[in-house]
Amino acid sequence: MAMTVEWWKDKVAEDIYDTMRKKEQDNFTTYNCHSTQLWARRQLVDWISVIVENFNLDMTSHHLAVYLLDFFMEKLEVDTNHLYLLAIACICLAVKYEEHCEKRPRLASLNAFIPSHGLLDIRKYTASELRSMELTVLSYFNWNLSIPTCAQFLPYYLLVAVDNLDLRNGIPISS
Amino acid sequence: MDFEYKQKTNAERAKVEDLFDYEGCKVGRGTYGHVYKGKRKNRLNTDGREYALKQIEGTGISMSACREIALLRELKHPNVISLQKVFLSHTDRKVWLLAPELLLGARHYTKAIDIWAIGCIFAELLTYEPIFHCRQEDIKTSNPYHHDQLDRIFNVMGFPQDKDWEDIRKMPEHGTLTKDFKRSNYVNCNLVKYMEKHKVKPDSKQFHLLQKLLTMDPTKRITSELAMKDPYFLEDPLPSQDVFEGKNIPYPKREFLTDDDDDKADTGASKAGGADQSSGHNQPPAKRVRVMPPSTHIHNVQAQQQLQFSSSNIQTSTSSTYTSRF
Repeated sequence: MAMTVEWWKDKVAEDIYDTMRKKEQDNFTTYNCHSTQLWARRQLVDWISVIVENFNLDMTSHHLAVYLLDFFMEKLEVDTNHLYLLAIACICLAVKYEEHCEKRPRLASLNAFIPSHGLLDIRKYTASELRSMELTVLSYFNWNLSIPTCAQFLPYYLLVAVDNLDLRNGIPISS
Repeated sequence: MDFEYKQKTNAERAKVEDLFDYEGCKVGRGTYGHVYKGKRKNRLNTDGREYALKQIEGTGISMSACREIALLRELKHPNVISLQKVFLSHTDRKVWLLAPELLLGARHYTKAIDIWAIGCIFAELLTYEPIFHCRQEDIKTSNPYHHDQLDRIFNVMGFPQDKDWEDIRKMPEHGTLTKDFKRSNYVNCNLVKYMEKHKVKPDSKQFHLLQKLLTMDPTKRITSELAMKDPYFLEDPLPSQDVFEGKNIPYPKREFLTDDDDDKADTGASKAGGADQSSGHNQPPAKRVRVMPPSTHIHNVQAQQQLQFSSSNIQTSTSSTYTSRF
């Protein structure tokens, strides 16, 4: 969940961390780059980053969206014209899980970001197409969106890894 | 399609009403949905357990539903009910005939709304195709606003000019409309073009009548009295009680609409295959799953999701909670 509450500073941070580690191990599936559509991955992941930046989304949503995309594509193939639809669905689900409801990007704005592409015949996706894709992704993951990603572990590790004297561009990293 | 995956998705599409008795057992209502107390229908499963069924309504997967399901499936504790299964149910409501004012939140049913529907059917008779066909009908019961249906109407009719429909600004969903739609996307759309594509000439009497029936502004839409006096009905063939009058049915066999997009989609997929081979990736062994285009193959999966929890060790306490809620 979104790190609005800074859990890593909490009294029970260690318990939370242990739970996340355990969940990570329970969920553990290897990623083998077996997608038949690996050629599209780079574009889609880049595109997700663009969306994250533009809509000021949290790092946890970013990582979750890419996780969903990767593990979905690892096993399932979508229609070429639906690749961006898949990326949109992954972003929407990640945001719904991780962020405040105000952060939800509108479909129309996401559509507007889809680049024109020689290979693909991309038009604007409809709300119902998005919903169908979201459901396809959700049922593939058996509704399990509670997936620890490195974005969640990072602040906990940073707490011990850096202190006020560690600077980046002259600014303390810990701030 | 991969057998297991197919089985799994099919199972998810099982109907909740086939598996559970819960009719008339509503035990609660909240912001997000309705909760029922249910029992399994299957007689072999006479464990006497009671289940809580939560029905969530909505056109999309709401943030709250998404989190609720994702988090509930994490919770495993004897004192907490555990999530058993998620059902997706569907409603098949045709919205093709709904007048634009209804889609924009008009609260009163008027004669003008019926005239619009008649216009839709008239157009269909002229072209053999539902004029405002919209692929997925998922009107949310509480909210009439339907983006895709409006989009389809504007794609045929064009976006209404302010002068053509002054009161559009007073519609409850006008704000959403201006947020979601851009006039500039529909500048090239109009009824003349659409009907011409279907071989109905814009100077024909039938077109003139159709245009009067399908007028966006309900106050400017023709009334039934006036429509019946329309010159179209003075033209041959004249109106009669029996439309075929003993003749053979002169219409070509009606074809079901195929989705152009899907045909295109198939070509796209084979293109993708080609790209893969040329890129020289090491492809994994055979069993590849293909997710069908969501628009066509998950079309049953709609508006309502139903969650179901079992009350494990704490049946009595949950039941009493429900009883007290009554």
